[in-house]
Amino acid sequence: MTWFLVALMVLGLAAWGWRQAGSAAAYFAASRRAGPLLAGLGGTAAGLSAFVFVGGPGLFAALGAASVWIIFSAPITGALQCWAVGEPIMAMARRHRCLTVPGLLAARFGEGWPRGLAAAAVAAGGVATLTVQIKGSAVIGEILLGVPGWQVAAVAVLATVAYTAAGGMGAGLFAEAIQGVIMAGAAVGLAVMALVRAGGPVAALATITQQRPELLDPWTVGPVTAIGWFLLFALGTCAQPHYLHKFLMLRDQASLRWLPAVMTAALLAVLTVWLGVGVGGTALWLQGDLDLAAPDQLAPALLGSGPAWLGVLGAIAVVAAVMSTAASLLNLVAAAVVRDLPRALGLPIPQGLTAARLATVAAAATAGLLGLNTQQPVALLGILGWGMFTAALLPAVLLGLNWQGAARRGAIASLLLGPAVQLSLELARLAGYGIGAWEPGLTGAAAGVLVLVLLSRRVPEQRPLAQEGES
Amino acid sequence: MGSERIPLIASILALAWAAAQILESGYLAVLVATACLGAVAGLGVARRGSRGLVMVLATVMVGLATALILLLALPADGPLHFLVQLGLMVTLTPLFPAIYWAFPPGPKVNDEDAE
Repeated sequence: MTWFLVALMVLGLAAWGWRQAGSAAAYFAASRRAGPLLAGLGGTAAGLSAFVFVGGPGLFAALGAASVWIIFSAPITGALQCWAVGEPIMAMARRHRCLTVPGLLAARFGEGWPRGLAAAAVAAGGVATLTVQIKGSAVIGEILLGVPGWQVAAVAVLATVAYTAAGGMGAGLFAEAIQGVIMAGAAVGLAVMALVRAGGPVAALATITQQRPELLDPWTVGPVTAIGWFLLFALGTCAQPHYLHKFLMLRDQASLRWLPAVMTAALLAVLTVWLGVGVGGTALWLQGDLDLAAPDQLAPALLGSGPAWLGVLGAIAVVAAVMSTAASLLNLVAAAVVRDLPRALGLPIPQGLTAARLATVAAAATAGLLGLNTQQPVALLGILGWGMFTAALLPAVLLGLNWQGAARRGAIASLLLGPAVQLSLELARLAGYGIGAWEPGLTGAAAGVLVLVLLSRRVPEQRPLAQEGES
Repeated sequence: MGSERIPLIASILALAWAAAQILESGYLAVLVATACLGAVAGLGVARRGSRGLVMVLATVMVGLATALILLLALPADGPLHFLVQLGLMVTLTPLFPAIYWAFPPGPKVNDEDAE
């Protein structure tokens, strides 16, 4: 009965979205009619993956307070995004009718390489992140719902593809906002439940202090690594295409005023699961009330050890997180493949939305096959997420949109060098070479900034703002 | 900040971050990180040209840097460090959205006005 109702809702949303999606602007930018509530909730839900519910508490059990540096920037990022990139993106989107992040870079630096490299980064990083999401939903679905993992992943992906392919971001954004509310409610509920079960926050902290006091030291990973995580996740929000995409959907500049408040409230509500389940679950583990083979099993073990409704609530939250992230990424990958890459190569853009819908389905199928049929590539593809977007896009987006002197050749070099440095460091780390305190994403972004500035200053260049708009 | 200063500040911060990683200096990392965040937020401040916003943001970023340096300098003892870390998050949570709300973007904000 539940599945039937869910299927009915998905089909209803898909049908509504199909009717709304009459143009590329409607399909890729939700008709630019989103208010702060819709964009803030949707953006937060899209930005938070299943990792927050599963990996976050496990990371607290493994690293303790040091893991909190990953989410420490949460109160800052909403305002930071609006100041640094949101305002210029809205201005450029109005002037040049941009629909995508690669389109913004093309409007700023000219057609060809800037758009093509940004689209390639979005397509590769998007499929990789989708793959990890699908794999994650399969693992968690199996543990929490007791059904084969591939079935959970298939249902989540098929439902997301149905409304995203049919309605684009018009339907996707609406669904993301609802999923954001579900994630926030479930996160707070799970956090409270975990802390209550551990005897309250004071008792939980006392248990950890007594048995593993080192878990309450925020610097156990090393101060530079800890601050590196803080900075990576603060600055990285200015370069994640699924975050930036939301600014292209806002209806007007007045909407920006409330956006940080909505984003911060939603983000902090969802992140309570990291702290609440992390602290409460770790205390229960240390008391011997939870049996874990490894710290990263904390969340599944905690949810699986309670009443059945708890596991269902956890599974719903995880599936909502997977679906919201997947919807945005599917739309971004489809736009990169059917609009940005052909345009960068000088090829005609397919008319209508059929190609975009097919590309959405193809992106989901590719990520699904990768996620369910392989093991090692998933771990390797996981490195193409947040850090790669930061290394590839941060210099060109941040400097390009705010500094008139940023030149095309510098932007192209940064789009190549940033991810090259990041990938090299990540691969070196995976191969077992010690890279010390070097944070791959930040180091890639720093290298990109330097090369962009250097090449922009050496040879003065006219600012080649593209004149043709996107409709 | 003026547009002509953006590449200089960005380059100095990028090199300073590399130095913090090479030297593995937590104090330098804290200073660079808070300076980075202040500079990135400063891009929006420049568009408004508001002295009040400059003062507010500078105060908050200096306060954050001071708190992080104290957190780094003081020896870990029980849950105190963790509670300070959480306390900072709780303090910052209403602060940044409120600052943004109090100094909204002007009617003529665009990428050229930022220069």
